Amino acid sequence: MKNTILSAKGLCKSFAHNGVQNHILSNLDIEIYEGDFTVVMGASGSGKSTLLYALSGMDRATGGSVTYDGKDIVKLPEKNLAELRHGDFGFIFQQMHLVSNLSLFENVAVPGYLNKSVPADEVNKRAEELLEKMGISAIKTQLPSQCSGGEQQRCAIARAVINNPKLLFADEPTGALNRKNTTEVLNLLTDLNNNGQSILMVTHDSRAALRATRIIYIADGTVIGDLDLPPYTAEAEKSREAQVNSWLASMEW
Amino acid sequence: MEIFKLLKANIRHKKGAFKSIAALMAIIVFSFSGTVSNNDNLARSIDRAHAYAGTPTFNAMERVTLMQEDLVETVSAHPDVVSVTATDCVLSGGTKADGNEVFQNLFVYEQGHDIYRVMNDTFTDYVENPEPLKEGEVYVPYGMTAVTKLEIGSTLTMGTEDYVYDYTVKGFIEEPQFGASLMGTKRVFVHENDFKKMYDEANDVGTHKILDVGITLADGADYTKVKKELDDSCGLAASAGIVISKEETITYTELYSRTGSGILLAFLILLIAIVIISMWHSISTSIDMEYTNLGILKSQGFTSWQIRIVYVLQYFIAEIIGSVIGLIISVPALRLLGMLFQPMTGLLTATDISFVKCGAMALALAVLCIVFVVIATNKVGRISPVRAISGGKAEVYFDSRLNLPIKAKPLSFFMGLRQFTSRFKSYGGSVFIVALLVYFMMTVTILSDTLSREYFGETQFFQNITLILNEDFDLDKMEDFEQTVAEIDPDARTLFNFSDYIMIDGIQLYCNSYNKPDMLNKVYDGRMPAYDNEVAVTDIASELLGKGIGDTVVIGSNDDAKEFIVTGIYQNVNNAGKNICITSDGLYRINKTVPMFYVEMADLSLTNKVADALDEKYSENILRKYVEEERNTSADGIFELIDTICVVIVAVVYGISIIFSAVVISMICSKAFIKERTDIGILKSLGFTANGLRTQFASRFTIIAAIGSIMGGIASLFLTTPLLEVIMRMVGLTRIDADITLFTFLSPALAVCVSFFLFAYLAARKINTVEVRELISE
Repeated sequence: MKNTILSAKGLCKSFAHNGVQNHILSNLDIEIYEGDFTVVMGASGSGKSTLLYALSGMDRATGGSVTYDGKDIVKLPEKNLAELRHGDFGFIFQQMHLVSNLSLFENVAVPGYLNKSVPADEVNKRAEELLEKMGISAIKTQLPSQCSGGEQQRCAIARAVINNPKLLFADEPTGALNRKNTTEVLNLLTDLNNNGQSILMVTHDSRAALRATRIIYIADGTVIGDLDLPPYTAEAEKSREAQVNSWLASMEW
Repeated sequence: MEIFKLLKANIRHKKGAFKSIAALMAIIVFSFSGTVSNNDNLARSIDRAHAYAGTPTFNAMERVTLMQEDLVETVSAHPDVVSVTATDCVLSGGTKADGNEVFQNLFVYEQGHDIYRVMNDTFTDYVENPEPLKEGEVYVPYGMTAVTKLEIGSTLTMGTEDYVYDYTVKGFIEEPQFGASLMGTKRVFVHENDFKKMYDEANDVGTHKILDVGITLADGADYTKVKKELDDSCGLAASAGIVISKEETITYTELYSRTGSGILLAFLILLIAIVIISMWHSISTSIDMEYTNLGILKSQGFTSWQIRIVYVLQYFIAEIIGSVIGLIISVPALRLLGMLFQPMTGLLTATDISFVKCGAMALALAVLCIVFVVIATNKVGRISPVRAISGGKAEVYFDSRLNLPIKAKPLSFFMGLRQFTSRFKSYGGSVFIVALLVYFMMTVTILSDTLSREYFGETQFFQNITLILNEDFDLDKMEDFEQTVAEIDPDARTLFNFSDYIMIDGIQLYCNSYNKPDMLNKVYDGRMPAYDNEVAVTDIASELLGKGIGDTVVIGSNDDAKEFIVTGIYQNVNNAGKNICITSDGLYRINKTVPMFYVEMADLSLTNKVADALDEKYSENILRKYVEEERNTSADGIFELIDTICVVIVAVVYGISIIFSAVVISMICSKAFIKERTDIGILKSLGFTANGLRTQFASRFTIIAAIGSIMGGIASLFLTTPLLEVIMRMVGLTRIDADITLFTFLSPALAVCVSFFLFAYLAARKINTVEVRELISE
């Protein structure tokens, strides 16, 4: 029996554009389980990124509820949402979005400083360890603009986990990377998950989806498919790929 | 047509920058309109008042007992003299206003309302058909209200102990020659019977019979040359208490108004520099941010010049709108300036705006700014349409590699510091602006201190007891006088003094003589005179005489003239710095006597005891005695007014600086906000609150303000004194001891830092509107 870490009920998100209401998410129900590497897939414009941002509290849903730790984060005030972002949640963006005038080390350490319960020395030590783990400690003093996309994304992952989040959100983390960097980033995420990190990732890359232990497929703002998978191993990749592709085909992917 | 469409769109989308430039221009135009119009109004008032009074080219206030009998005839016979008027008057000392001593000599005349206009109760207009004076009534010049507490109905006391006259003030007149508050003498007018009585009783000791000789010269005649020739032919200056030209009186009348204007105009130059820097920053940032749009415009066939013209027109329109607003708001400002300076000039001054002159200046300023806009938009020519269309400018880069670490506490400060250091070049202009503001704020603070009492020489000496001595007094008695005081109040200060105009090397200067010349005067080079053949001169007197330390000058007139050696350069603002200082011994050497003995009590309760003791022992030498148990004299009036002017100037400079800070910050912040919107979103996604980010934003600008303040403080250390010495020369201050204390630095620095923090915090309120979802790439 898996523990639910995050759940949404009747989730709606609409945008008004030029007087026309666009419903991106419609009464969506979902549960995310602790320890899972959950991947959300769907066609372009299906609302998967919107779902991710609504679930993570980065954006407010226009209807429904998102429950985390017994609280509806849709109704949380700005201050509490900020606490969630630097405490229980971590976030990785498609475009990395590192702070441009901070070095890689500082990009990782600064969110750690927001966590008042951890002394600055410990934050620095952990940042060093994470950069080492991500293989970018040699370039830690460089600015993001001086690094490759892969290096930036590895830094973004380190930043996302600096506060030991209970749930790590990733929005197309390999979307802006080449093949080699994509593999490296996916390996890092898989490692994190293997060490117990719960991950919720949005992707349209079926190769990235292979790393998941669960794939959720959404279309027209609602969940239309849910696939559980065993933990990823490189050896079983081929059979896994066939299973996933077949399932995705059934979803009209 | 396409240019106007772009212009309209630009103004609509960049309302912030447009409004900011208009606001800055409004402040500048408001400031110079206030000062220029005030000067113009004063100049018109002076012309009008002199024309009404028919002021001659110069006046010689001749002592009847000393002047040659044929003086008037001799003067009239001079070929350059067009006309001569001779009016009897009485010079009266010992003046009191409602019982308070007034340190001004009064020339008393008959009536006068037919020559000078009488002002109404509120000093806003003239009285039509003023009533002639009755016996016991006096008209006094309006300028006296600045140095006394006189008002209609007050009592003005004149005369010596033998002949004391109390008059009731009936009204105030506009007297343009001696009427300015800074003039040491004034003309007052009494009923003909009162005048006749006073004239007949004038004993040439406390009161003197004077013939006011008004001399009008032909156009083009050289005043100095004619005066010298008249000195030689009939001893015009030698027998005169004062010889003063119309131009000299105008200088006194305009002195503080011009000084105030000079300070504000110097401030304006700094403000213009700030506007240009702000505009430069705004344009430069705007071009960077609009790189893609501008590149697209170029790709569509717009030339660089067409785009630059849009910028030029945009800023020009903002400047014109700002100028018009500035002119409108200068109307009330002029009223305030008028209220401040009118009592000092003694003239009814209009509060009209010099529209043509100010409009022309505003236009010239707008054109100057436009030249800078043209230069600043030069980089439009370097925009590449290809690069613009393919995603905008080159990669983000930072102009500073200053790697100050980021600490966890206080995180907002260190994040702000990093934001500043990583874009140091773009904040360089802001730092420079703060430095200019703080420099000038410190300068006016120092100026305010400089104009305080310590620079006014003997006036810092509180005369609790004043004795007017008669001609029987001689130098041998000085020690006895002082001993008598010391026996009762050992810590009391005493001083023998004589101050009057005197001839030195053929030039009339104001002479201060003291038994202790170094007690109240500050010597800058050499030393104060110690012997009877020594003299100290001010810088201005030294320049007029062409003499310095070690040179010999001749002091006195005719047979009494003696040679003196210049021993030092000192500072004293009497007669706008045109003065000298000799010892009491030196005064006797040129056959003049010491008429005044002052006592400043240490123990005020002993004042009457000391006065009685002096009276008892030296009654045969005392012509008149004034005793004041408190340390307030009527001279306080002028200081109160000067203090008020200083406070207003400091307040105006601080106020304008803070308003400028607000406008400049709002301009820079809005650009920075647009530039950093993504970073703000990222930081929000990491858990920073909007409030924390606003604090970061404000911290950055506080750091800018702090660095600028330090630079301004350093600039002030080196540049305040030279600037003040140039400005204050007009009032006779040539050596400024800029006493820069921690407070002098902290008050403007704190004002700017706090305003930067607050305004940046307010300007950063848009951070609340940034949503993390803006980072989403669907």
